[in-house]
Amino acid sequence: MNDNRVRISSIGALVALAIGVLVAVASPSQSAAQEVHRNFVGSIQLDYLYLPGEDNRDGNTLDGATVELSLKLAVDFSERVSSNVKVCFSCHGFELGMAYFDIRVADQLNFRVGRFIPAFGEFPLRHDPANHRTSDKPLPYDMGRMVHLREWNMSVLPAPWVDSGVEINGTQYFGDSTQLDYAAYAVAGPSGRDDAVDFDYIEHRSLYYVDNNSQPTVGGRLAMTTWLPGELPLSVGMSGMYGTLDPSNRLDFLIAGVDANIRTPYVTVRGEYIWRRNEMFLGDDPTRRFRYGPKPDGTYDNFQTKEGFYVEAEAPVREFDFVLRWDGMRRRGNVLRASQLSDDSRVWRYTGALAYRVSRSLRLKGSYEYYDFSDFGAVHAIHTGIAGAF
Amino acid sequence: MKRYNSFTIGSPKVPAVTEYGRTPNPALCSACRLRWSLILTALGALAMVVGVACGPPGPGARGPTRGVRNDFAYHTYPAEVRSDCEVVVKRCNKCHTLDRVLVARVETRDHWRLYVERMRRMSGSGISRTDADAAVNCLAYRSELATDSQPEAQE
Repeated sequence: MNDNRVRISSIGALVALAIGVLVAVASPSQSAAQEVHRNFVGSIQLDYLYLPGEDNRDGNTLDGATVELSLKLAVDFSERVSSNVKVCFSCHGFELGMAYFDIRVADQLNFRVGRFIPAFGEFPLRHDPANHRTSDKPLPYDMGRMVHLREWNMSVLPAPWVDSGVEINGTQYFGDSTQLDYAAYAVAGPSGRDDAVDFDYIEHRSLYYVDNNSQPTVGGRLAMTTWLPGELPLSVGMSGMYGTLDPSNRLDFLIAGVDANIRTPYVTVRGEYIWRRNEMFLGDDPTRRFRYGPKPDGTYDNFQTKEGFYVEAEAPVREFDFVLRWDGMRRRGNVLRASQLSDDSRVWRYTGALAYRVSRSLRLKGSYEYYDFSDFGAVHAIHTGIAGAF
Repeated sequence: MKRYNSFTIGSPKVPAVTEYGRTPNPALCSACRLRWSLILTALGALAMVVGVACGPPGPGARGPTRGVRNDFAYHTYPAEVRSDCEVVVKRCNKCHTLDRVLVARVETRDHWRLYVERMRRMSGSGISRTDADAAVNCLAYRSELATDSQPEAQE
């Protein structure tokens, strides 16, 4: 870790914090006499993934039982200032899921400073297992539940993508029926080594969350929600993120996504598409490093693309929620010699899920998934679990 | 050494072959996979259609008792609060389940006002200022009921 980079990141964080404090102090509704309200919430999900007939001795899939816990404390200081701190426990121990201040100047101008989930896509808003009805996340946002996760190095952008930095966001209302949301942020961004070919998620959550390079990752989101006749809410959005992933700032990446969803009294339909292009380090001798040889012109592409989508329909019926989901991913680009993927790999997944509300805050979940890989055999997967919020 | 040309449109694809001792999986039968997928998708769709057709609509359905649950019996509330609670049922389950609202440990109107305001400001919340006022009205009323020891039916 370069001391200079640490210093720059620290200075950036301090400047952002100072701006936030100034805005908060300048806020006219900030009153010393106002009562501070605290709200403690959390959720737990215990899930068992069974892969009938599969031999998973290589450990490339997290089958068996996993537990996800989140504990969140929200403090409302005033209408204009609040803070959220969230701690999660799951497959890689305790993680800081949130630690930020929200400073609200107006509907159209808010600041978020600290460690948070930058606005990207629609699913991350529902990433908590107590908030979505399936046991796992859509493939483009998968964080360790997909089959062959290690060969694929997980998804396009695992959710929740937690990062440190500052975000400006706001909402413009057009009457009571339409709202336009925007967000723009600068965060530490994904990490990778100087010889990276893909994101290094372990490094991203290591090193005490210190950025591995001095260049911030920037991004934003634009979304519109409107109520159609019959009070049917329709939301559409687009998101983007750009930055570098290596310490030397030589390997850049771009992620873009679009999403849409509509809710009716009988069914909610959602869909998202995410595309990522990231540069890869070729090295002095790509012939020895990569499995596939050069293009006809003798050169090697220095990038890979990874894209994913999902469409799902969710129908609540009495105490039940039925979910049908079709999702998939595709990765294109050269691969390291040891990789088990090809230069054009894809996976499709078909999911049928059921959630049963056994009490006010407790749901039993079950789902069947059929994985269709281009590079591996088809896999049947069964999830059973229980999730609750408190 | 294989030619790497997956991005070259129109050129023959490099087969997704295996190296280093891996052997193609005999289960990789495209027609079989497709058939399985279609059957499962059709069965799932059928189950969903039957379920939706036979069951009552979920939260957000129109009508005087839309989305009524026995742990949120707002149909027994005064008329002016009832309509506000319908806003809660419609608006407050987009990003999370309605359960999260019902189990929140918020007891006062002031706290509900701040809580709902924080939610309203979430990107794509679909909650207008008018909606927020209505939601606060309903949730504060519900909290006051609980304080007055008139709990709703618990599951």
